[in-house]
Amino acid sequence: MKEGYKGLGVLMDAPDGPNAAIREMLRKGHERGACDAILVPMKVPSGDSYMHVLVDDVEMLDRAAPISPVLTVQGARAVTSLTRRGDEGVCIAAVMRPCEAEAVIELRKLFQVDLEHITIITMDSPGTVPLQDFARDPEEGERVFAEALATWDDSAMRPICQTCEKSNSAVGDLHLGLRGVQTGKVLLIPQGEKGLEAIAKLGLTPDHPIDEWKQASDKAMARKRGTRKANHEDLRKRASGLSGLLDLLGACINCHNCMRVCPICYCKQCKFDSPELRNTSSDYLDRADRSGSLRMPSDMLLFHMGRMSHMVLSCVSCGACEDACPTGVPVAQLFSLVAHDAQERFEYMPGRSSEEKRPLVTFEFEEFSEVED
Amino acid sequence: MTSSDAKADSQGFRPRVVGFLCNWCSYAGADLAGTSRLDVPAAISPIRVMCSSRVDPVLIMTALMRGADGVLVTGCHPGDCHYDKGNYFARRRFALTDQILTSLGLEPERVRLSWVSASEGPRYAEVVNEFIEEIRELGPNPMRTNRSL
Ligand code: SF4
Ligand code: SF4
Ligand code: SF4
Ligand code: FES
Repeated sequence: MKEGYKGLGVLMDAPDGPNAAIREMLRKGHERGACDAILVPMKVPSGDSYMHVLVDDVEMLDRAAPISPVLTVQGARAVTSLTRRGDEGVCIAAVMRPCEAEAVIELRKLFQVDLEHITIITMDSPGTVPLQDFARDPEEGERVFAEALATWDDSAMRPICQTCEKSNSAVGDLHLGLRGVQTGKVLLIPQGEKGLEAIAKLGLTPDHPIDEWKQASDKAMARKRGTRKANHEDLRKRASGLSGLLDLLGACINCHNCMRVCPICYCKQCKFDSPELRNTSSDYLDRADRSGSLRMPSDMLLFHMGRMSHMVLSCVSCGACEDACPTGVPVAQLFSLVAHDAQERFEYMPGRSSEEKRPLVTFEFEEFSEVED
Repeated sequence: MTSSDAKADSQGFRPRVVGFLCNWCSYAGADLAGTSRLDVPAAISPIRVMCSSRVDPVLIMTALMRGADGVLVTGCHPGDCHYDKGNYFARRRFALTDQILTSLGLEPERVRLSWVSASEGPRYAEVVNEFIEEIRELGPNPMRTNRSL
């Protein structure tokens, strides 16, 4: 976890809860010229979902929900779409969860976003409600989420959130510490030059030690690491080996939604949707011949494992893929498990630093001797 | 190439292995093994690639899922890649493939990475023979006969 600026932050009043405090801070930042516009989650007019919205008119901020109950479009995708054609000097403050911000950093390494004029604001995340549950009953979803935000009990949040050990990571240029911070307050933690600049523009001075927040965060994250380990062990048992794995993926309908919503899968033409993987019917028949039959469309496993090979080192375990799966395949949990192992082996943490090279575009002369002979 | 041990074992298992050979070293090494009349099993289907770094994980996975019992990736020894550093990248990609197979409990022993130079005809024969023996012990690749891939 990053340490912030000299271990100091700004203790801000939040009498009406963290969402209101963040809105207030954004309004102030806009007024004082810290940003020209704000990208922030907002409830859609029909009231049953949330989307990232680019806000120009600060009046609109009243409707913003910086800590939204669901993760719909992954924030990194929103930032990509915003800066795809260059940023032309427009300064934008983008509010998102730590996992979304980590994906932004990965996309920067992949030259998909331009962060020069973007200030990222993250916050301790209580988790999010499974998207399909929320869609089914938004009122209940709001209630469950409000409770999680008030108590930090994540048991009704998505499985991937329950096992997220980075939900309190200060990833953004500004991070809002909520856990272990006294009631009625939030702790604004600046990170790097951009963070300090933003704080200065807000007319604030970092003078409050972040220790208490950090201790509470570390403790919560240690507990989550335990949950994560148990979840991974369970998954390893269930998914290990060909038949276990195919059972886990059995309901997959090859829709590739998981790929389409994944922030790291930015390709215009996905290899697994391309004609490259199409064969003639006699080829398929040959394959069917070996076992008596062949599942069609075929290559379901090749898609998942191939996608892993393309992006799992940068997988931020955001869970967008699982939220988007129409048939309830625990695809984020599976990717997160493999990501955990692979990232550990390559000593790589996605989103840790935008200076760090992605593992497959670099190497050491002496390494991985266990795989060569 | 001779076919001395493409024979089926008692259960009728004939290992089939796909070999990716880099053009500049390993393919020449394989060629040398052939012209030296070394015993190289026909169980291996060699595929020539320009460099070991061309062999991305999806190629290896495709071979396995299309029924290969094993996949051998070969390239120039570290430091000798025709394109200077390709094989270092190849090793990383291979390590990732190994990790994905390991994490999913999918028999990482079915894939192997070996460095074989143009002058190492005997080493090529040895690597292939050894690998095919290992594959024989492992038995047929369950992916070959699975219906729900
Ligand atoms: S699976 Fe691979 S090819 Fe497809 S979008 Fe993701 S990274 Fe691109
Ligand atoms: S694979 Fe799933 S969990 Fe991982 S980054 Fe993509 S959407 Fe997020
Ligand atoms: S979203 Fe679900 S059903 Fe669709 S391809 Fe991914 S795992 Fe399969
Ligand atoms: S040319 Fe042989 S490994 Fe690159």
